[in-house]
This record gives sequence, C-alpha cells and structure tokens, in this order.
Amino acid sequence: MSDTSHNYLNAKKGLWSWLTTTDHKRIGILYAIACGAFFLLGGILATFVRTELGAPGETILGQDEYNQVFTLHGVVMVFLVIIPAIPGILGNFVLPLQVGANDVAFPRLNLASWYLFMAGALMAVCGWLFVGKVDTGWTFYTPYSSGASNAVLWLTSAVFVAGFASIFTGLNFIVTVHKMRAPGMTWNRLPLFTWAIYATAIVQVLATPVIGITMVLLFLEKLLHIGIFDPALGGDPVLFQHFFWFYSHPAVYIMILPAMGIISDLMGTFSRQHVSGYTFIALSSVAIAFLGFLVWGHHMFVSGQSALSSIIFSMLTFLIGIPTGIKVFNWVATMYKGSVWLKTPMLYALMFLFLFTIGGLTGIMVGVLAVDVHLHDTYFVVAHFHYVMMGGALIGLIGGLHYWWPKMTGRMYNEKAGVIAAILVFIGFNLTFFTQFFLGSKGMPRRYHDYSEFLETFPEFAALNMTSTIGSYILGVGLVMILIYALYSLVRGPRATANPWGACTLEWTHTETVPDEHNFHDTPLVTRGPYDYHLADDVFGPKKES
Amino acid sequence: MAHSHHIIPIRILTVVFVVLLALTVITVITARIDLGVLNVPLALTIATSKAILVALIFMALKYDNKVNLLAVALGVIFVVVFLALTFADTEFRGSMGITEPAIVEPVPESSGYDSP
Ligand code: HEM
Ligand SMILES: [Cu+2]
Repeated sequence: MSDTSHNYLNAKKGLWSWLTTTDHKRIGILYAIACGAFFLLGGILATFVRTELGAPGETILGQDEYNQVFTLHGVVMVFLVIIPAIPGILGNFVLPLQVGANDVAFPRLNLASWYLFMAGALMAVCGWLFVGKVDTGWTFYTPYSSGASNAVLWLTSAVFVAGFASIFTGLNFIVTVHKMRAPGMTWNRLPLFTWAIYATAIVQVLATPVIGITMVLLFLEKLLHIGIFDPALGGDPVLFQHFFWFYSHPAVYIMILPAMGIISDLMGTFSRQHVSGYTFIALSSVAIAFLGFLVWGHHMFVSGQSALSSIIFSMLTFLIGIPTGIKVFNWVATMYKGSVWLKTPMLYALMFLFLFTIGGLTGIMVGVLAVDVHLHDTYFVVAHFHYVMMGGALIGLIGGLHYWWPKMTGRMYNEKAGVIAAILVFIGFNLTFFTQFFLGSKGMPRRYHDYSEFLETFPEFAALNMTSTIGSYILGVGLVMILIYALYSLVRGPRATANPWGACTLEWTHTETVPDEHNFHDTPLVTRGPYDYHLADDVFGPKKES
Repeated sequence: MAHSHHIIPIRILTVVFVVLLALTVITVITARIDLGVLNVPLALTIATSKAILVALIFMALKYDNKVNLLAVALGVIFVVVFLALTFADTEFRGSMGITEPAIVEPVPESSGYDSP
C-alpha cells in the first residue's frame, strides 16, 4: 500500500513498528490479522466436524478425536474469535474516530491487551500440541474437566489470560467514552456503534473476572484437592455451571452487542435516514447488558438445579426479548421510507436482521422450561446458538469490515464479488443450520460423532445431516471468497474516496481517506447528531452511485 | 487537568481507625457467644460495616467523583445477584416437584426405544 499521502499505514515502517505501535488503528489491524487466522483455524476444524457427521457411521474421525476437534473448534471460535473480534478490530479502529479522539485513553494498555490475547492464544495452541488434547467441550463442565488430564488446566489458563485482554480493552473503552469525547460530542450524539461497544465494555469489565475466578477454582481443586466442584471431595459439580454461565451468558452479549451496534450504523447509512428510535436502541444495549446477568440458569434447566431457580431463570429469560425486540423493530423502521442502498455491507445488515431474529426467537423457545427439557443438548440448541453467534455476531462483523474497509485500507473491494459471496454465505448458512432445527427437535443429540443407531427410528437423519454438511461447504466457499477478494483489494483494489458511502459520523466526515496517525488535523467540533441525513447532502457529500 | 484531591482531616481518619478497632473487638467477643441463627448475620453485619467504612473514608469514595462509587456499587450488586440466584438453587433443591424417584413404566416394544 504505497500511498503518496501521509497516513497511519505508512507513517512508520517495518514489522517492529507494528509490534510496538500504540496507535489504536494499527492495534485494530493486529487484532484483525490474529482473529482472521484463528477464524480460519476454527473454520477448518468445523469442516472436520461436519464431514464426520455428513454420513452415518465413523467416517474421518474416531469418537475421541471427534470430541477433541469440536472442543477446540468451540474454544477457538468463542474465546479467540467472536469475543475479541469486534471490540478488538472495529472497536479499536473506529471508536476513537467516532468520538473525535486522537487515541484510546490508555494506548499502552491497549497494546498490552493484544499481547495478553496472543499469549492466551499461544498457550491454548501449545497446550494442544505439547500437553494434551482436551475433550470437555468449550464449557469445561465438571466432572469431565476435573478428571485426570492436565491439558484442561493449560487450556483454562489460556482462557484466563485471554480474559484479561478483554477486561483491559473494556476498561479502555469505558474511559475513552467518558473522558475523550470531542467538544460537542454529547451522549445523545454518540454513534450507536460506540454506544454498543460502551455497553459491551461494562459487561466485559464486570463479567470476565468471574471466568478467571472459575478457572482458578478449577486449578485449586485439581492441584490442592480442595473440594469445590468434585463431589468426591465434598464439592458440587452444578456449582461449576453457575460460575461458568454467570460469565458465559453475559459473554454472549459481549458477542452480540457490538454486532448490533454495527447493524445500527449500517441501517442508518444505507437507508440514508436518522436511525429510528435512537435513544431506545442506545439504552436497550445498556438494558441488555444488565438483564444479561440475570438469566444464566437457563443453561441449567436439566442440570439438577432447584425447580425454584429454574422457574425464576425461565421468567427472567423472557425479559431479554423486550430490549432485543425494540432493536429489531427500530432497524426495520429505519428502512421504512428510507433510500435503501443495497451495497454489500447492507446485504449483511439485512442478513443479520433475518438470521438474528430466528436465533433470538428460538432462544425464547429454549428458554421455556418445559420445552427445553426436550431440546436441551440436542442439535436444536446448536442451531440456536449458531444463528445468534454466526448469523448474528459474525455476519455483523463481516458487514462492518466491508463498511469500514475503505477507511482501514484506502481501497475498495470488488462489489460484484462481494454480492456473490454474500449470497453464498446466506444460502450455505441456512442449509447448514436450519436443518439442525429439525434434527434437534426430533432428538438428535449434540456432541455425538455418529448417529447410525438412530436411523432405524429416524431415517431422515441421514438426509438432513448430509444437507447440513453440503451447506457448510457452500458457506466455506463463500467465506474463502471474501478472504480472496479482500487480499486482492489490498494490492489491486481501486483507491477509495474519503466518504464512499456518504455516511455522517466523524470517522467518515472529518478524516482523510486513510486517517492520519493522529486521526484529526484539528479537534473536531461536533454540532449535529450522527445520522442527521435530513441536513443538506452537501454537508456529507452526495450519495455516490457506482 | 487540575485534580484537587480532597484531604481527609487526620481527626476523621483517627476516629474511623478507632471505630474499626472497636468493631474488631466486638467481632471477637460476639464470636464467643452463641446466638443461634443470629451468629452469621451478626458477624456479616459487623464485617460489612467495616468494609463500608474503609471504602467510603480510607478509599475516599465518599469524597471522590461519584462515578467511582457507582463502579464499586455495581461490583457489589453483581456479587449479590450471583450469590442470591445461586442460593435459589442450592438452598431449594428438591423442595418442589418430584422428590421421589418416578415409577418408570416399561416402554412398548413398538416404540423403537429400549426400555430403561
Ligand atoms: C433473545 C435472546 C436469547 C435467548 C432468550 C437465549 C436463550 C438460550 C437458552 C435458554 C439456551 C439454553 C438451551 C439449552 O442448553 O438447552 C441458550 C443456549 C445458548 N445460547 Fe442463547 N439465547 C439468546 C441469545 C443468544 C445470543 C445473542 C447468543 C450469542 C451470541 C447466544 C448463545 C448461546 C449459546 C452459545 C448457547 C449454548 C451454549 C452451550 O451449551 O454450548 N444466545 N440460549
Ligand atoms: Cu444464555
């Protein structure tokens, strides 16, 4: 990327300048590279899982290998991709620009977060290669995890270390939003992406220490034989699930809230309208962040927890639907009478709307106590959480990356390739995961490497699984295609203009095509809201047709 | 930015220190008296009062920016939420619904399932 203009990419040269950078934009790129690599790894593992299940009987993986592969897939995707990716990549790159700051509040801490994250990742991979393979699933439930293998301790320590990266990032964003806003950037002028990252940061800071503590308790039990989770030592295995889900349910909001923020910005920009219900969308993020702490027991309906707490948790779970619904309705309302522009990022926004709604509604279904007794630990749950995590969080991320790509790289990608890949991803995704709703409701259990036993009763399992596997290959092709045209765009893509989408948030209106090291030449003075498209076109530049 | 740190008068610090010492003595004394069910609530009340004094005066949360107080309060609130909802499980297991093992009817051959 040789550019004549002076910008953050060419301000300093060499690998070392990247590894020691404190520029939030470069740190965002570092996260992008790391998370991209982990996503590739997780994706390859997923292909193994789906291939094993493509046909009945043992095909490419034995049962132990199968357990190891889906465990690593889950750990990598959850802890090394979906949780860190949006705050790490887009939060870092975009948030300081959106609030009109020249960096995050603690730039060195920001770099330290990336190194902690990489250390955690390295521990996970080294543990896998040299210590032993874990087969507990990403949830590390006791008593599986309190069994013999020390590999579990490695992996949980890795999660512990990566968790601190998440806490530091959250802390950084909270302080940045409180202290570094440009003059005139009042709370009700914050772009909704920033609002969402802010709400997420609260959850990161409050919830993540609990997973750390949980992993420490697991450690203490294994090394010092203190009875915490192991009944043989006087512990309570269900207590582990309380600890684990007290973090991990809020963590699903660490995954989805930033994606919701991206969608809000995309809806505004590509409908060229003020985002409907701005205040409600902003505050519903905060409401979700808090309510998210009160529902963890819905993962434990069949764990043997008391009927009283199951009832309480089931009722609290329904409440989450309210702020979520508020968002979905407002996104739809934003498009109403807008000038909807179907560029690739907007295709992903629409995809999100569709897929996330399916994921959210099936979440309410499994939140119903009686229904969940049947559906728990079946493929129905697998389908539910892939609709929210992949169909929601990851599709949001991909949409956001397309949207901010010109700002990050100064180049455009090929729009036609973008549309084709989006269609492949959409078709592949639904083939892969919609079939799993049928499988699960008929009782196909998750985490089994073979289902030939069930075929006598449910012969349709074979066709459904085959369809799901073929779908996953189509999905894979779509995703690889994105990687290819993205790399191509880096070298050959046409140069972007400063505001190709005619957006009206600061990162588009007040910076160079590729921002300068210090972001803004002068501190911006903010005199309007983030989606004030009703002001004249000449303020933000006319909508470009291409 | 000109940060003006509130300086807490030595008199207040001394008073709080003495109160903390007194509360410690009370803890020791009450630990020797058996109050039945009140043992734990009493000990926790004393401990909580001490913690509040330390947080408000020694850690100066009383005089500081209220956002810091909010941050601490949120932490405490979520610990309470965690404990309360976890106790809703551990203290009430088996107190509702089926506590006796169910009588399992044999499953008919034709269903395709094995009998348990
Ligand atoms: C409307 C919102 C949602 C509701 C009501 C909801 C409800 C539920 C319930 C009740 C379960 C437990 C099902 C079972 O194990 O039997 C569950 C599982 C799960 N949900 Fe959701 N959910 C919602 C949104 C989300 C979101 C946004 C994500 C992630 C981005 C997510 C990720 C997961 C995951 C990962 C699991 C399964 C974890 C495992 O056992 O491995 N959910 N959900
Ligand atoms: Cu949950």
